[in-house]
Amino acid sequence: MKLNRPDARNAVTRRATEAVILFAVGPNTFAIPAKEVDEIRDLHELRSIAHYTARTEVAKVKSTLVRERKTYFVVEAGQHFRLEGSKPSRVMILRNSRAAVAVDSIDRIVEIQHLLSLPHAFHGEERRWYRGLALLGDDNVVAVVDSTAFLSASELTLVQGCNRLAKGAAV
Amino acid sequence: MTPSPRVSTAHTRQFVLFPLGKKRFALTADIVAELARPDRLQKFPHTTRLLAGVLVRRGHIIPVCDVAQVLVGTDAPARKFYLIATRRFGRTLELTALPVTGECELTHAEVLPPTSRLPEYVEGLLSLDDEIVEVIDLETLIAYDSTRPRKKSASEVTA
Repeated sequence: MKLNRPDARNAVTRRATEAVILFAVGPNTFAIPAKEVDEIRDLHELRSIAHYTARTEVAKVKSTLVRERKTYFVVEAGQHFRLEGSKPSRVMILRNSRAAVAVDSIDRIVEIQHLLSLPHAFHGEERRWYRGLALLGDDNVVAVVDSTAFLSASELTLVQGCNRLAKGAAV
Repeated sequence: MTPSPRVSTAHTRQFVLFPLGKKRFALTADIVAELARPDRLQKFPHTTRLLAGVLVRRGHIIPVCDVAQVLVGTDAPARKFYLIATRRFGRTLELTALPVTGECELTHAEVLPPTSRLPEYVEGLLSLDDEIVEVIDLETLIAYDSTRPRKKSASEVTA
């Protein structure tokens, strides 16, 4: 029985077709715009700094990797999204960023038609984590991550300090 | 949704009664959009309390808010339907799905003031044939801290 149905549609934040990479963390699938990923690697050549970040606000950064003389800080996506049971096997190096993201697996690249804004009912950290939601096919919802949220400017400063300590200890 | 045979008068308002286990609660009919059959609940990580995930209905994404956790506790029986209500966020209206455990009923009734011992999300009481039904203020309920000790329900207070 329909009583009163207002026009309460999700706002579309972007209409143009956009290529996104689907990746998995635990049982969850996420999307990240393909243009925001520079490279996907396995876990070789990661250097652990977990001992230096463990009791800090950047405990989600457990390792670094060096590419073309530039150090990237690897954020564990499972910890970023507060998920348990994540087993990373791939690292996505983000473009124009000092962050890389460790994820369980890379699924595929797909094109999304619309980016829908996150419903207002969601008011927690997810408002920072996601740019919005996308529909894959008719009814599969996937969260489109905001790649800048993986490592904020203040988190970068903190983790750079941890990395200096780690390097100092290694000398 | 079943319409009730009760007669409307100048003092009565329209409500949708919804069951959660053995109890029924009421929402003012103004904010109820429809009763929907079960849909696939889809989840993604978030930190907003009570939100269980989202539904996709007619191409729209509708958040699912499991208010049973607050109203009847964590041992509520399986929810069979979704009561879809409208929430206002500033100037924006947004649909929210509330899982309920059975068929809903549309009724006219006069609202009685709540007793002071009831939780603040109870905005009034309906005295129906053989039951007292709490009228729920949805926004207050969703903001309610369910970790606080639960106050007695209307039926417990009147018993």
